[in-house]
Amino acid sequence: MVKAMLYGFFKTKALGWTAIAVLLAIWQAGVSSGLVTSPELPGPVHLMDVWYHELLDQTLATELIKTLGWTLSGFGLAVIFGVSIGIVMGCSRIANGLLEPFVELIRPVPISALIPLVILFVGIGFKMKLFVALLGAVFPVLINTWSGVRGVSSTLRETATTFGLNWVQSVTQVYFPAASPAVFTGLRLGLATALVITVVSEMIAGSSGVGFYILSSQQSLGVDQMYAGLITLALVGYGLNAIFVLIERWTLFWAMPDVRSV
Amino acid sequence: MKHVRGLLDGEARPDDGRILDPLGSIFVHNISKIYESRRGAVAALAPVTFDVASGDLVAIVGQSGCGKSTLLRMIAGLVNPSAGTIRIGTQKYKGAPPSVRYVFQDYASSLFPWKTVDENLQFGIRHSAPGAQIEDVDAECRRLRTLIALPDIGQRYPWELSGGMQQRVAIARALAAQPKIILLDEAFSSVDALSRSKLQDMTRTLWRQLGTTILFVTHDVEEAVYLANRILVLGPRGGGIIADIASNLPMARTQIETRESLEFLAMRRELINLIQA
Repeated sequence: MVKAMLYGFFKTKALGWTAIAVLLAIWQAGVSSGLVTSPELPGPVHLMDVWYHELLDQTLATELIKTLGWTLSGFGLAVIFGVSIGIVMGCSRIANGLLEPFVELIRPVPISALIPLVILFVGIGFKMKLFVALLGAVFPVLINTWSGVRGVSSTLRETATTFGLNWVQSVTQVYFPAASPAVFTGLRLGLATALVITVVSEMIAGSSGVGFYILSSQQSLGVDQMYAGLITLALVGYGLNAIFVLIERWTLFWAMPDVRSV
Repeated sequence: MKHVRGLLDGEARPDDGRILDPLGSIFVHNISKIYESRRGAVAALAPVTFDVASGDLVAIVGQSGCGKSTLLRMIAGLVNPSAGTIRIGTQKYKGAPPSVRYVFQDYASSLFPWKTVDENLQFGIRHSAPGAQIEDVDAECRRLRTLIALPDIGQRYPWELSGGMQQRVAIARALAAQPKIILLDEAFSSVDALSRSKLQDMTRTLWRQLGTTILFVTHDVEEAVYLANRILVLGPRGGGIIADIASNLPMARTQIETRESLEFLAMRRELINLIQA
């Protein structure tokens, strides 16, 4: 019984969460005992208190809503473009031959390096943030959709053919569902990248958002607020991923070996 | 070419004696396949000509690489022939003929893992062959599940079933479309021996009940003899048809008695000699 519980503990995320709790406790103990006195490293209890109040008095909450708004809008556009182009590239050799060099040429360029170029064309307003988030998310979505559709087994493709499905029916009823685990991985990566790149764009050329909040706090010696911004980003990133994991377990259970083996 | 007997006459008829649909007949005329590669042209199948009467149950056997799967895939419209024509009923088709359904060897990749058994069957019903008449989809799913002797698995997913059960569902999904012709490509070779025997018996029973034309490819000589009313033997390395043999086994067959009968053993010997010659 004890052995089974220990085995379960070491096999699950409980191990990682315990390690985090231990590290935070050591950090807090160091600050409380006076061993750590650096103003750059306040204790975690104090930081959580600051974070809570910053969120409550809406300074941080307002910035967070803006960041999330740009991230999700850019991500939404990236899903539309990435999934549809990925499907077309995965299904059509001509489209693949035409578009693959474009994708392979632009993809390796760090999206943050493209921010100055985007500013040049659309200025530093919301269009820039939207476009940058779109650029950040579109490649993971597109490439995963593309490889997912290309990876659909020939038997499944031929099943669609022998049942007389036309192109649209094949895509919607066979290729897309079969590729959906890969598409979903792309969505997860795309959303995470969109959040990162939105924050970077706020730091480089923004006047609002969590990225701007973190940078301006650091520049005006608001170390506590800077940490509060970082905590917010960590929690938002974790929360978004957790939502994706839930949706994945709910809709794509058929593709999960651990569920299938039950 | 050794021609023992031509198209079967009164024998290959369903039990209910109804008139068989002309769309269930296959006419293959001088069909061949040549693959172009960097090293030059490779003949996958020399020109072959044969007919399959509506409602017949015909096997194609031969060594690996003889072109039997290529031939079946050309009839299904999955591979374009290099030359020759194929007619289903009176019509020539480019692509997949609407009254033909294909059952793959790889059942695990052919069934949709994101759909339950009933949803897989509903897919077959939704994409049915022309002239299919299905009014109550749920009742049709129940009927199909009963046909394959798996009445209680409607809500299960394919990956929750054994290999033999999955292949039975794949056959039921093909039948769901009410096709005139079913093509089976090594459909029983990926399941265990016991499931294989059950699938063979189920196939013959369904064929006798429904009267659907069945053309199947197998590398297993005994399977061909046990199941088919007529066997086409392909020569090695795409050599075309070297024999067309009509079965003299009785319509009602059982795994033990039929396989032990002198007729069965004689046919088996004849086929092995032909294939290994």
